[in-house]
Amino acid sequence: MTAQANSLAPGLSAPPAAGGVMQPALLTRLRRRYGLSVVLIAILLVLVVLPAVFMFVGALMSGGMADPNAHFTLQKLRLVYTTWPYLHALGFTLMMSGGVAALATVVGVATAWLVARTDIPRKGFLELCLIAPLFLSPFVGGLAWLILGSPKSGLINVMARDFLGLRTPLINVVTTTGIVCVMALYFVPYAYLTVSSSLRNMDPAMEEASYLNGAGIVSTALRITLPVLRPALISAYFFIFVLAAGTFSIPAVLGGASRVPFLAVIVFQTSASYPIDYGKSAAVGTVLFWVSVMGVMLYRFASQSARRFVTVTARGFRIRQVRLRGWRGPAMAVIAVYVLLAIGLPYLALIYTALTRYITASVLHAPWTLDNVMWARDAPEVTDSIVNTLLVGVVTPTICVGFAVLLAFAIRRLRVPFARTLDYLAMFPIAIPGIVLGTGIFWTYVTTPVYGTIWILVLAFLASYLPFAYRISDTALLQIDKSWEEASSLCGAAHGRTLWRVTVPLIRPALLSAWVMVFIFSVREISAAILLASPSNEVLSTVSWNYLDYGDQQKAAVLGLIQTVILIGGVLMGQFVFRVRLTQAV
Amino acid sequence: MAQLQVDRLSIRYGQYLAVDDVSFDVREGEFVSLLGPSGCGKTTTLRCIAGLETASSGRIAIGGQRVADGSWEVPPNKRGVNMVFQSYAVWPHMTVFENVAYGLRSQRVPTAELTRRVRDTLEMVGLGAFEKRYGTELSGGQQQRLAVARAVVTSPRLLLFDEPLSNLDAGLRERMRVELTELQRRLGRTSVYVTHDQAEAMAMSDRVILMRNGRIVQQGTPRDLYETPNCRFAAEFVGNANLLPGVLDGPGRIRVGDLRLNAATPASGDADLLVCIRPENVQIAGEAGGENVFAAQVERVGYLGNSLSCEISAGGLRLRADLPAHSRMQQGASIHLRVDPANITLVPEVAEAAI
Repeated sequence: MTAQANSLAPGLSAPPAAGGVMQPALLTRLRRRYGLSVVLIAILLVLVVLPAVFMFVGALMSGGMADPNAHFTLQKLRLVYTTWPYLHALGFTLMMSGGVAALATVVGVATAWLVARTDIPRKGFLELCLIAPLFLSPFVGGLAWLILGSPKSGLINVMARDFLGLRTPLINVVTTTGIVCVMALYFVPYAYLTVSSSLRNMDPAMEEASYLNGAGIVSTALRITLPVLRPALISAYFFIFVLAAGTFSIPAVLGGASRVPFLAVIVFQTSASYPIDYGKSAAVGTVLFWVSVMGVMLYRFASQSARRFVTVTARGFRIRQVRLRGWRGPAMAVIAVYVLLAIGLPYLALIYTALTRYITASVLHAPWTLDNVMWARDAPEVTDSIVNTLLVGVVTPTICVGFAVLLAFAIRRLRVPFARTLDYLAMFPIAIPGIVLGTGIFWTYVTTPVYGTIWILVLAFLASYLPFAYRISDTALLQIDKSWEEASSLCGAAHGRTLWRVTVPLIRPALLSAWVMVFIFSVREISAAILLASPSNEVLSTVSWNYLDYGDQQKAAVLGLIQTVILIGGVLMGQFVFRVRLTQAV
Repeated sequence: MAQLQVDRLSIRYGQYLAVDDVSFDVREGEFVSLLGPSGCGKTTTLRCIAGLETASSGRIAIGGQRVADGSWEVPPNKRGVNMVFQSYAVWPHMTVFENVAYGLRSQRVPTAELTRRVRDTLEMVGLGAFEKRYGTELSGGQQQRLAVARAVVTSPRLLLFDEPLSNLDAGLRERMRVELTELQRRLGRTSVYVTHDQAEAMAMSDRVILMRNGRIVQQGTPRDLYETPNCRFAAEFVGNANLLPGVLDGPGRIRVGDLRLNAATPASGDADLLVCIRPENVQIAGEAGGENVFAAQVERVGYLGNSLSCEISAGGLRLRADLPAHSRMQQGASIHLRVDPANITLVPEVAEAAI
């Protein structure tokens, strides 16, 4: 510096310093330029990639990690990829997930159109009802439907016998169709949100132009609205497909007894019940992984082609609302039935079960009791699992959102080297179903002291939900003007200070909704937790599963209700304390 | 019988009165612009004519047939009108051909005739070669032409334009303006055109309806509006104007600051009025003396290429004058200026709140 300042020719740079001085300067430069990237990539590799790699390693092992005689073998993979029972399960999984996605998308489109385009009353409330299942646990929903709709003792069938005198069961959810329908119930909100945001972003003039060209309401909906929404529908379809294929809870609860060949359930069964074969479980996990990767690729393709349909929108003129007139009643009824099936009946059933001693042949002689509630109050196991659930529920979103913001800031604003790789790694867990990630984490950490502690769950959940938190942070960054941050830099603030003092406060609402979102996911998660559960790190969902597995529906119901109370508490806190618009968070 | 009759139309959103008791007629084949600043109710009025917005009160008739009466209305698909949208609203999932054919298919026009009419219309707007393209593969100007083709092909009784040129860049806008005007003259369709651009409204329309705060301020030919604005707003919104407070001294005689001028237009009885002088009507006078000649000092000169935009002071007033570029006016120069009595318009000074 001094040399340069004293130079007679200021335009020329000073000659390079002697070799000994240059070496550290180069290192410093490299560290400055690549340091952050290297650290972030390292964290992501350990958090996200390592479990996937270990799962593949596990699939090639003849025994568990702790087994000293284990050796490499292709036998498990050959079994899983080439023999009939597993190919059958693969086909069944694809078919069921496809059915769930189709059903949920159809209901989602219909309800989104009703709310966005017609004069149906109380829209805000209806929308809340439609997305409410998102904040509830599919596992608890599955449990409730088992209580409601199993052929012999299901409450609906019991009541049909009691009040209508029916001799044969009215419904039976313990079937493939039943599982598909119950799963679809809990995925409708994803379709609803995707479609309704597309409807909001769609230029209303497209539909108005159709009216002015002489087309009526139905014709406009079918020939203009639906085709323009098509990319959004396809991306919603594959998003739900991936989620459904990776869902362990509902197929396990409803299809466990009849052994419905669903890959996610097989992954669990092969590593949790006799004969235990961790290698085979990992091998089935890899099949599920490829299914997911395929779904995510189709989803990404659909989302990208959606951009072709983005159009210039005029000022915010409210679109002419379709007058439902006589159809108002039926339209409301459609939504009411959905809410009844997804929330109303299940919670009535859970409350009923929690307050009875055992399942009876008639609801008229229900053996009412408070024993289950008292048990929940006194059992240390329940207290422990509540504490663990809350711990995971607070720690996971905090770390997850913090890391996601750092990632998004480094990638989008600092434009660090390898930004694309970082972005790809952060989104990678989208393609790993919870149960598969659980398998991977199990193989990775089984020989470390972390295994068996609550922190292994935090690790699994962090990896699972990073894509959600990262996507929300990134979108929020995109929406704020870069010049605010540039002004901070010009005022002399270092990047860290800019991030903390300018960026984070500006995107605070988005970060809070991401936090609440990850909180909900963490509290209700069972797929990623079930394989990592041990008596020392039980959370509410795993304890509830265990009781259901023993056949104690009453205790399972009580635990499901406690979990629901925590979820509702989180949502209410988000809504009223943080003022989070959860509709926009997803 | 007028092709469009709007009678005492009001549109209310809760407490907000977007359109307030608006009445006007449009004759068969006439091209009428609704002009005004944003939020003046012009687009809402247009959308109500199309049936996309529901009136709170008032009546609309198209071709002598009632289409809206209070909240009773004929739905937009049965009104026999068509519209060119600001965003063009070109359907992205259809080809250019299908976009144009859509309205004819709704009318169940036989295939042969449909093909012929679509091709003719596309030919007319210069998109003949593009019929297999998708809507979103067109440039802004082409999408605009497609939107026009789609609107005229159904032979609507009334053609509506909602700021169709506002999304185009300046050069293209000029060209499309000429094209649109020619097309309308050729087709002779009754048209209502909404714009906030006074130059657009003036150049294209047979008649301009100037709106503000949901009400009609003034309507007439572009020349009427420019030469005889009826209030301060009309004078300021349409073109540039020096609006100077004046006092009536006698018939045709007014006092503005220290200047005494003759005005050809008769003034109403009010003693207080606004004197409207367009900058381009201020001329350089050869010498002192003569009707409406006054001494002035050049305060500031802006060179615009085709003219000099000067700020001058005269008789204790400041006004803008557009002087010829070749006059080589210098800042601080003392000169004599003249305004033709015919170019002095007297505008009643109405309290702003009343408009």
